[in-house]
Amino acid sequence: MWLVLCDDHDLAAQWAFLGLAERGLAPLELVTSGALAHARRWVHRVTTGGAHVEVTLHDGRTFDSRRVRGALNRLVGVYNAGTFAAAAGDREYATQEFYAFLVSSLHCLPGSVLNPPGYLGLSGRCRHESEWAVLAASAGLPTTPYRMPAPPVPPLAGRPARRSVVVLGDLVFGVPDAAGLRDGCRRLAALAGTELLGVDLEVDDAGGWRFAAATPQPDLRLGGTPFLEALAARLRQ
Amino acid sequence: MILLCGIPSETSLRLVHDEVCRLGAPSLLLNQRWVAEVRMDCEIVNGHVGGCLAVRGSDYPLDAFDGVLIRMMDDRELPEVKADPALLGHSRALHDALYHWCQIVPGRVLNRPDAMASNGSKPYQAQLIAAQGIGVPATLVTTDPNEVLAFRSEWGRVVYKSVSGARSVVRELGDDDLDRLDDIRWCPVQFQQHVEGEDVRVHVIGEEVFATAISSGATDYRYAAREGGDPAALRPLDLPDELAGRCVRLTAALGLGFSGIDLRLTPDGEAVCFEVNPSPAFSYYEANTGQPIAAAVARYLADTSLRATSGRPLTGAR
Repeated sequence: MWLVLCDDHDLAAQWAFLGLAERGLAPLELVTSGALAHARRWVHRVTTGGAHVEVTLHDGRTFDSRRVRGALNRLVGVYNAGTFAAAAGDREYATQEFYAFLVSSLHCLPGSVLNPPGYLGLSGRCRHESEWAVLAASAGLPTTPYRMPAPPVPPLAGRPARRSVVVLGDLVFGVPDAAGLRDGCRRLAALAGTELLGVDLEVDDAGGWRFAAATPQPDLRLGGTPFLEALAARLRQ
Repeated sequence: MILLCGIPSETSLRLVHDEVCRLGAPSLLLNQRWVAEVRMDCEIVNGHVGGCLAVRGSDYPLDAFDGVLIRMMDDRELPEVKADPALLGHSRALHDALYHWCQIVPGRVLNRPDAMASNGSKPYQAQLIAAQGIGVPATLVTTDPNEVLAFRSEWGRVVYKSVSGARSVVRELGDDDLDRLDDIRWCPVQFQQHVEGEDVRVHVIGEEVFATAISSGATDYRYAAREGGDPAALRPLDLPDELAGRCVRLTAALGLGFSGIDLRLTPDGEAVCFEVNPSPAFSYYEANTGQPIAAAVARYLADTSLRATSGRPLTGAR
């Protein structure tokens, strides 16, 4: 079984789900953050020998991580419907507890998981702009100076043109034809330990491309059909 | 130069500061309570992290710091910030910049914020611990009361505790608790097998290891006196080399330079790990055993600074 885990309104993930189904990945299940929020039953076990999780959703579907072969994981946040009505102090504690529980539950998914969770991100580590600036320079991408505390963001009209690139392991989709960019994006994903990465490039004053931003939750649709083929192959590994 | 951040009267920070001074390493003790008189301006150009830290009228180039210890309290709780709400915005921006700078500054940082995060989910961290070949207690996190009853039947004695990094008192699941077991349907709760044996706190600093055995009749020795029992008794312990090595490797695998590892040594000689604390309040153990933990922390932080001055590395105990 393969899973596509995503927020309820993640159109890119739903596009990928349909594309993966067309490419014969079966059984394939779409599980949204809303479905997880209303799950009827969770059982998560951790021992020295391994870990697994079983979940029964409100619609009766049940999943056992031991039967999962891979997942496209795009979850950003999941609220817990069970504690929605709790008093303020209790609700904050329960929210923290549920997030910690999800990190551990998702971590025990076996096979290819793009991207795996950590405490700093349910589907790949969220990094501050300063970290991305250092990593991008280390990857060999041209960067613009970054200041902390950051100055106010300029209005949209004043910002340079951007292009978004999708990296999947060694493959880069939508990259402009310029020396070093493809390798730089690939190295950035490797340095970040984020196999599925979106990289935003912007035009510099000389008309070249430089690093602008990165995200573990890119708009997958930018990669088109070649990306879906590569994703299906990667999840089958 | 070493930067020590926090409240100087906090014992662990004070002990490290004393040891850094004893070593003669250049240092700056940044008192969080000076928040109104501290400015930070960090700039990253082509991957180089530079800028300036201004403290009470003195400027320090950020790239002069090659060792950092962070033991900061929640800045929103600082008396100065509570007394002057207008200071909150500045305080938040300053602490935010300090926090992110600690993530990217070259050199030795105890500990980098990302590495400290694994402790935010105990069962997640348990999976990372088990992956390093150290035993962890059998754990069940569930919303199903029947699973808890079966788990209790399987293990006999079971404790429950928080899943997240929120501080909680570990309690044994008793018959009285079964009346409210249905409450777990609202949010997953963590249960663990009770492990018989002796508690051991292992502090790892780089490759130095200090193990402390704790004797206590309480389920959670930190709260032994509060629960009406005798206070816990602490003594230094020599760990077997193999186990000490595993603790060093576990600390490194979690990306930490300094850790407080909670073990229990079972009667049959197994080591079971409950958690790895990335910001251990070690002064309690040092005060009760005389183990020179602060000195080891100071040596670790000063290694780069003093090597630059003297041209040779500092040597440490085991």
